[in-house]
Amino acid sequence: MAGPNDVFSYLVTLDDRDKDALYGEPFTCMSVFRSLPPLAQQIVLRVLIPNCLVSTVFGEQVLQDFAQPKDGQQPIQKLEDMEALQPLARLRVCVSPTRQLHDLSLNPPFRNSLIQGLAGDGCMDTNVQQKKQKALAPDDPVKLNDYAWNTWEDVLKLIVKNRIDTENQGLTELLEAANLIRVDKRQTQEGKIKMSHQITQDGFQFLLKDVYTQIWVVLRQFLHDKVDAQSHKAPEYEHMKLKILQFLFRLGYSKVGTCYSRQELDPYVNQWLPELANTFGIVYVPRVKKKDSEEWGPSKNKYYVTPLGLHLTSRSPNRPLFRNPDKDHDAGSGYIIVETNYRVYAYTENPLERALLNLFVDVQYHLPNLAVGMITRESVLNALRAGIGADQLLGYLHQRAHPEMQKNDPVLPETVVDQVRLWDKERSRIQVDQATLYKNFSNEEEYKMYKAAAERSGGLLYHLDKKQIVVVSRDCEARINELRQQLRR
Amino acid sequence: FFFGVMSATSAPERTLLVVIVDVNSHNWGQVPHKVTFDNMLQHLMFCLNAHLQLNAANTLALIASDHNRSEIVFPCDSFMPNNDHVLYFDDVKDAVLQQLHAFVESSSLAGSTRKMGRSTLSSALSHALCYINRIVAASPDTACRVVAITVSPDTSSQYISIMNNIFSACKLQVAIDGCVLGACHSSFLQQAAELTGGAYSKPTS
Repeated sequence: MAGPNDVFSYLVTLDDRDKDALYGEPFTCMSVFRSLPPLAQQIVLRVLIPNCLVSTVFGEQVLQDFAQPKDGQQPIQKLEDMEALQPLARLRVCVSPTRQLHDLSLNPPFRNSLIQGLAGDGCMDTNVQQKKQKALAPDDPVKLNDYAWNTWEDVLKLIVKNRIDTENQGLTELLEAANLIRVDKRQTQEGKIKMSHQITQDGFQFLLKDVYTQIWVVLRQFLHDKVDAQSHKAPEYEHMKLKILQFLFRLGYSKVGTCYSRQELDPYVNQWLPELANTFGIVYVPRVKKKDSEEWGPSKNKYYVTPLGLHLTSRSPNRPLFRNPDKDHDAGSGYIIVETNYRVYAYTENPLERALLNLFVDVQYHLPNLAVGMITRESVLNALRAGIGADQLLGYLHQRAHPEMQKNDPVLPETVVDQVRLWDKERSRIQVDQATLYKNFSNEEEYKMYKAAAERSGGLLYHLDKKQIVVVSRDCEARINELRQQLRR
Repeated sequence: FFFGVMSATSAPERTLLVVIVDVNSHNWGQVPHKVTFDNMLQHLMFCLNAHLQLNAANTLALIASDHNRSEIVFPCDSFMPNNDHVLYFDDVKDAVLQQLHAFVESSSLAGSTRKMGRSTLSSALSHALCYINRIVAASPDTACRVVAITVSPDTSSQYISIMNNIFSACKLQVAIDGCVLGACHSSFLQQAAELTGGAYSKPTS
């Protein structure tokens, strides 16, 4: 899919002014800091308090050593050349007025906010709600977990289904804009417009990615379409996108299950909060009865953070990558077993997961808690033709491998892994062209003429002098036929 | 002032940081140049937060040591990490400060002045190493460090125990860093830092 697949790569694409505005919030800076590679983190920490140039702390020679590409090359002078500092420069964590190495220092807004965040001043005020009289019980984490996964699975189901769901018009448009589905409008006999949609090649690849990448891709499109569109209408909406991004980073530091107040949020964020909740499942807004009426509507005062929202901006290795159907294990333990005889056993009842498995496994038996199938050449070739890569397929299986499987080393059986890759290579090994074979020429002269004609028209695919065979591609057959007519006369 | 010691932790894998804090009130009163306990705590919190941010799986432990006892102050029974094993800094900060406060309150004030001036560095180090041993047995991929912040002068009778500690730390591949805020250098910590590959610093301003 085009575009950055990760929140942090997206940050790189924003322009400098936006980045500086984003770094005004402590949580953003902490999230960005967390995401940096270890060396970059160390560099930031050491320069943080003294607020001096990086080269003062490290010494210019040391920096040169870090960046030394090969022997005998010129010492690195420009910022871009130094690989270890690349993330810092691209995210505008470190700036250099002269774009030279010796002038590198921390970006002031980033520095200030990071210090504020690390000192604990930017902590979310959760006490506000607790002081109130009403018992605002923290929500059940399991319920929030279910809500988050259900909401996101609805999105995935929409991609996989073929029927159009008229209620979700907005979501469909979003998915289409993200190039995940293709909407076809047909007019039926009664004159009504019937719409159906089909998944695209990008959509296939999307389905096999981990959930946080998926959420981010759709969220990015959402920010682009809905938020940017509105911001063009009125100038005060300009920073709406940035505010929402800041809010997302803030979520990474919240607690699942604690009730937070909506009143404290930025008004722009507040406006989009219900949509974030209903479409993506990263927050949850409970339904309460409106005053003086019997209607239920989304609460104006509170929201909860769900596990998906919590882990969206973090790269922690503990985060659950997929929903676990088995309640006994911790979230994220696998459910697929792959045997060396190409049989696949998936312990899941989730229809979405079964549908995804169906993409590349020939599912033979459906049991209440188990799906049994085989990885066959046809099933894998079907998936490969649809645009899924062999590595993606294997990665998907690896991620969801059952804990018993994970005790193996390597996790998936080598026979299966190698064979899937071979099937993938097979597709590029043989190239099929439509062609015509000419043989049994009367004499060598004729053979040579045909061959020359074919070569001239560029359609000569194969020739064998010994047996006097010429193979010409279909496209160029017309020219050869002309030649034939000429010779007949 | 910023602890130069903090920046010595650079492991990309999950790290356990054990901090030994000397709460000997007698010796804190004698610390020169306007460094107060609260001040130190503030900076310490900053460092702990930075440590937790370096890697999502990083963990912490805190040991408080007084003139006659040392205790593992954090993690404590009242601190419940949630299911995701994510340490929220706010919770950590509150729990740590609360526990330290309780520890200081409960330290007895009886005893002669000479005894009060002692430090129990060796017992605190042993505590730390035992805790590390337990944690490493449970999850072997954890790298560990011990940071000792002391104000008390060295007690020569503890030499042998401290050397034993240093050798076990070498075996466990645990680095011991020392930060001395008192008036005089601590040769024990200097040796510990050098032998285990840690850092030693005595800030002068």
